[in-house]
Amino acid sequence: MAVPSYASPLEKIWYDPFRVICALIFVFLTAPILIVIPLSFNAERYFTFTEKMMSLDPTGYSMRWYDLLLILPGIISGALFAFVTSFDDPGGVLDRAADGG
Amino acid sequence: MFQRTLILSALVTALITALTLLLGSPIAHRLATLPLRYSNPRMIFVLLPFWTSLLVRTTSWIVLLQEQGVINSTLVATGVIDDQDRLSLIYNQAGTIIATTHILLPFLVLPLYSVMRPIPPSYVRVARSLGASSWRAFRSFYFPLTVPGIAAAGLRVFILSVGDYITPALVGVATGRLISNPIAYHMTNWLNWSQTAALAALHLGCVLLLYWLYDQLIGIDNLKLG
Repeated sequence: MAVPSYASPLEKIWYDPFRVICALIFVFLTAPILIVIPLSFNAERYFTFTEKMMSLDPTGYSMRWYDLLLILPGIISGALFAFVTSFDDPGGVLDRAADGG
Repeated sequence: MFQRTLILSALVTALITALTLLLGSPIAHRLATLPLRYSNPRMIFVLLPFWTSLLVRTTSWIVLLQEQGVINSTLVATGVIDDQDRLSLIYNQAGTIIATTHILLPFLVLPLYSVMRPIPPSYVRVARSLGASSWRAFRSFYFPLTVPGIAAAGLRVFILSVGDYITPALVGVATGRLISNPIAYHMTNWLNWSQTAALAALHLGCVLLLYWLYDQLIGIDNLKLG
């Protein structure tokens, strides 16, 4: 939307700086959230951008923190397997039978 | 000790409310005056922080503000400040103010937007065509129509920030505490429930006093929450 035709000269001058200020406030709102994404590729455990990352050195970056997501299916299927096998656990049943329960 | 925290956090909360109004009203006005097909894509800038977890946003402010953080590193790299005197932006009042302002900004922009959007642009146009200056048109037409939104959004931000616990606990550790932190401290560290109840009642009393003041100044009938 352009400046309306009835705008005073001051409003015409102010229009573009106002757009820039609004854009900066939008950046202030979103940038702190988006900064987490590049930081997740950090090779170190530290919660900061390392010097290697700043100088765009490939060794400063890694996908290691995403490994957890790759082994997650294994964790879930392992838990499910343990849950199912616990239904016919002979050792536990014998223990409880010996206690009279 | 508690008196100091009470007065200090009242001042900090007032500052946070003023800052959110200062930053929020321009973008609410901009979003409300743009045509919908331009303002809707820009709305994502307000909704993205609104939908993101509070903890993620607080921790990302730790990344940005800490001594080895993004802002300090950028300032050192560009030569604005020396490596020795990095700014301490976090774990004090400054950290609490910056992070809480960012966290509560969507809570101000969204109600303000919903009050500003239905105001027909023709009102200001009529005022201008009848010879009013831009300041007069703003003061006599636009501003009175937005007062219910500004008042409601301001009060909402104030109440939310006065009871904020987790953000000051994470980014304001030692000196940047708000009222909720000593309350939680008495509860979790000393298990002194009566003391906790007394402090919480005092806190509630202060908020009710502000509510009364607000009713006297603006009137609760004028409250318009979206």
